[in-house]
Amino acid sequence: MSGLEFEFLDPSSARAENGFEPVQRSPLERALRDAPPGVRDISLQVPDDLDKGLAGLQVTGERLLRRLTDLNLDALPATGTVAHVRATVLRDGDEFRIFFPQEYADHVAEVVLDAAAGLA
Amino acid sequence: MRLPPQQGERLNRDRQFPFLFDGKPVHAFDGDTVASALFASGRRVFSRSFKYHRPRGLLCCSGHCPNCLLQIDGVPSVRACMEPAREGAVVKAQNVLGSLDRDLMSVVDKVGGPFLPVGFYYRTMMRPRRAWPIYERFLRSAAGLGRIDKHGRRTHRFDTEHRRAEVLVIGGGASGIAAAQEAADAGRQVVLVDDGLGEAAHIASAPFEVLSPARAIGIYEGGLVAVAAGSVLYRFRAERIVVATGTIEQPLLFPGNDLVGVMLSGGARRLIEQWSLRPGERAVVLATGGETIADDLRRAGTDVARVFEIGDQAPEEIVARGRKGRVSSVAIDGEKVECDLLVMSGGRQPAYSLLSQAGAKIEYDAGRGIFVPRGLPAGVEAAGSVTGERGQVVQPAPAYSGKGKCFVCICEDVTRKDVKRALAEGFDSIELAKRYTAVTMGPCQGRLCHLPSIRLFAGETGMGLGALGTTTARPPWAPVSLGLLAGRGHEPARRTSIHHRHEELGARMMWTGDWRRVHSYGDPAAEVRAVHEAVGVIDVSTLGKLLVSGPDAVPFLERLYPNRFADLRVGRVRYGVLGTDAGRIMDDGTIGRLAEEEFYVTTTSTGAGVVLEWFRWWNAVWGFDVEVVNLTGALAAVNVAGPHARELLGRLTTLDCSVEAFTYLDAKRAHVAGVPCLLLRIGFVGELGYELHFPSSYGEYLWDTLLDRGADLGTRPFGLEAQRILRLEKQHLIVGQDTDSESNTLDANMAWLVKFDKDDFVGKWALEHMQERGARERLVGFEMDDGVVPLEGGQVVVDGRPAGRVTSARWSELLGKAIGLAWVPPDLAEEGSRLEIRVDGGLEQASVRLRAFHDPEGARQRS
Repeated sequence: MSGLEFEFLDPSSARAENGFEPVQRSPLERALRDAPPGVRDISLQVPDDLDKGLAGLQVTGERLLRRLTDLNLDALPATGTVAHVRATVLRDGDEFRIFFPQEYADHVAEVVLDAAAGLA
Repeated sequence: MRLPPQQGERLNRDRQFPFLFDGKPVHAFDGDTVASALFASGRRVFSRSFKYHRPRGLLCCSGHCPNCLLQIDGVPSVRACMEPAREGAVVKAQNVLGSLDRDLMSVVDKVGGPFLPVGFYYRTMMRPRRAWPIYERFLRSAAGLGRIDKHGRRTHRFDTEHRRAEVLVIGGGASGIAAAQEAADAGRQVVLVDDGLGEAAHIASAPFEVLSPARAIGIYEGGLVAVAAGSVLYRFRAERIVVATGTIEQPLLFPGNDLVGVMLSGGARRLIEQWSLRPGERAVVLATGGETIADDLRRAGTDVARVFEIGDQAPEEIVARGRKGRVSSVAIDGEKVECDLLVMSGGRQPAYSLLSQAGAKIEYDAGRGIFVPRGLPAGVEAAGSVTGERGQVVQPAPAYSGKGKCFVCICEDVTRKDVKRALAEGFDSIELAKRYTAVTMGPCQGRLCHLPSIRLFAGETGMGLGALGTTTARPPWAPVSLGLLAGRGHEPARRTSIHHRHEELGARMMWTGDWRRVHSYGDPAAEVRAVHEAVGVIDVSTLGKLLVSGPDAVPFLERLYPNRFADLRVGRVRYGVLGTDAGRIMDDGTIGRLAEEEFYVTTTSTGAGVVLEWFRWWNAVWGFDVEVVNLTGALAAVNVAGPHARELLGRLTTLDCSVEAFTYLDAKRAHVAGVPCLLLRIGFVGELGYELHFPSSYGEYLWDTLLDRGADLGTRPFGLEAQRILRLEKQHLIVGQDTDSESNTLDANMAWLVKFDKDDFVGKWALEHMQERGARERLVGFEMDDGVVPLEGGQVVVDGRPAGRVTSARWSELLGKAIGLAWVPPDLAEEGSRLEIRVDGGLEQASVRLRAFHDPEGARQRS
């Protein structure tokens, strides 16, 4: 068996070689450049998920979450729709971590920042 | 003129401010509504009716009726009796030609009645047909409510908020407050929704949350309650819903019942108690409990000329007469009384709509003459008078006789005569009659016309109200703006991890499904040239990417695809077309074998979701030991194509990319510029090409590196437009573009991949029948004689008749020809067959080409 197994494509197996220095970039990096203090990018800290395709966002404030999702915030963690996108939400007091497919990063950031502006 | 402060007055007389009504200043106290301030200024006509443009004045003063709809600060159809007056507000009349007091369209009331019966627009204005746009424009301008600015922009911010409550109480009256208090005392988390009319808003400190002013607009499936509160739409989920919406006072039906000065008793009371206004100078009262109302009026200084107890005295004829639309007298069984105020009450109907929406049954209580809610669903309760178990019993006549227009529905200007006509025309079902006459379909949504119209129907048909039943109650129960329902204008879009680089390169973006993709970087022809002559790179991260693994991976794919995969060697790639049960083309892509039990499947960009569900569904049906993982977003992908692609790749990896070591349709893994990549040697665009799949977080890095290290080779990015030209030169089809829901693999000239000798695969039976039947049409390439590019979807014409259609067409600079793909009759699917294609109304000549236009032997992509 020649072994092209998929684990090879783990981001952590990138390496600096032959003058190349691979750089990872968070999908939320641009969108959250000027985010208010309660909204933080944690994409590159996402635990090793199965498909390695999640972006992560940490937000503060239950009211903000209520404008983003119909999930029961007293029964987290749970998976449901956040900012029109399927996501998993974890809670630690008034802090919420939202994980969602990275290709929706710009969209989710746009909705989160807009909702935060509506509450400001 | 204001009365001295009344008990329950809601005014702060220390603060007064102006607002504009039709350009003139009107003064209001803090606590006034727009309507109360206008009434205090002497205004009595607040609107013009929907069809006849009859003057209308305050009727209910509680947000039910359509009589005070005004345009306020640019927002049409605002109920002025509920809208707090604001300093500087700009208030305008609506649905008038001229002014509220002199509306030129009121001529319709004088002469139009006989010509505009109910449903006239279904039977008239049919001919000449070409005049309909003129009729339509006239009708639209003559009838209706407010106007919206077609070119207006979003002026208000509306938000949606999801809430949960253990107990949600709807209604801020005494019963609602009591229910909320009881639940709160029991330790439950309670939210009370109050429309501002009740007392809840004025409770200084409550052990529960009060949302006021706020209105529940509907109870939806699963107990979702939508509540409109200013600029926020709350979506409540509650363990227990208590509906305490009370009752709604009903009008009486008699000629002249819509005149200005005819008011419901509750409306008159609110004017007196809340805004210290005298409703009129000389009043007649037609109501049960009329003396109580009369006492209230007398305390406000109104001379009460006559009180009729409805129900007891049972008059047969009531006719109100007016001057210039304002009531001046009322004749009751021939006894005429002068008045400028006619206070009426036809009893109270439980406001059961929300309960009905929640699933309660609505039954007619013959003893009380009202519809009442019964059989409440679990988790939903009714409290107070909405149960129909309290209050006075009043059963007025369905309608009182007399000469003149008797309005059943003041929203839609439906008269008693209209209802009779509808019945005579055969609309004897209450639901059909509702749709034909539009009764209950106006702004009040049946609050003031539902019960009276059913009473009238029952009276006219001789059917009992119980047998007649009631119409379906649907949301919205309370008026709500479309802006609030629409919420914020966000559109979920998927973007690749290289998206921002494309924007920085000046790309023109386009939608493909829910993805944003590059159409071109400004010069598609130059992008095509780069692929043919140097190197082109295209972001194909949007391709669906599925990992299929497990002991049964081979039989699983063998049964899904018409292709064979058992003989696909590890490290090799094969093109596959996915078919439906009916043998139709569903999707296509490549299948690479990564290991004995591991396959990497790509799909089209827009088909990924469907294919994933298709795989999972069949896996559940067959019960194979297979796992399917969606990697679409996790991996980025870039296609590097062109004669110098190998040289560019060689600069970035230690992998042996020679033609001997890395042949066409090979799959390899390697680090490319330090990034772990799966490399597929495939060629959609017809040149030597490598498709690199790698972790999406390295998307920008690898894209930048490819362009940077390939700059001296003439490397440039290309978009979908260039790709479409390139693949057309190779006659490669695009599923969804060149195929539709009826296209099958055989007719699309891909019989070579269908392995009928396999035991079974999805769609085999259907394809066998198609093979036996023979092709009905064929997908072929064509080139135009004179270079005109036909429209995609254009007709292929044979012997003057439509015989096929163009699915793709482009100008190829490489070939110097207009080329394309088209479905044609099978007998034309021969090299050189002549076609005619309709272009701009004329017929252009074309020839069929069955082989790829460019490099038909495939030498370039195999090189």
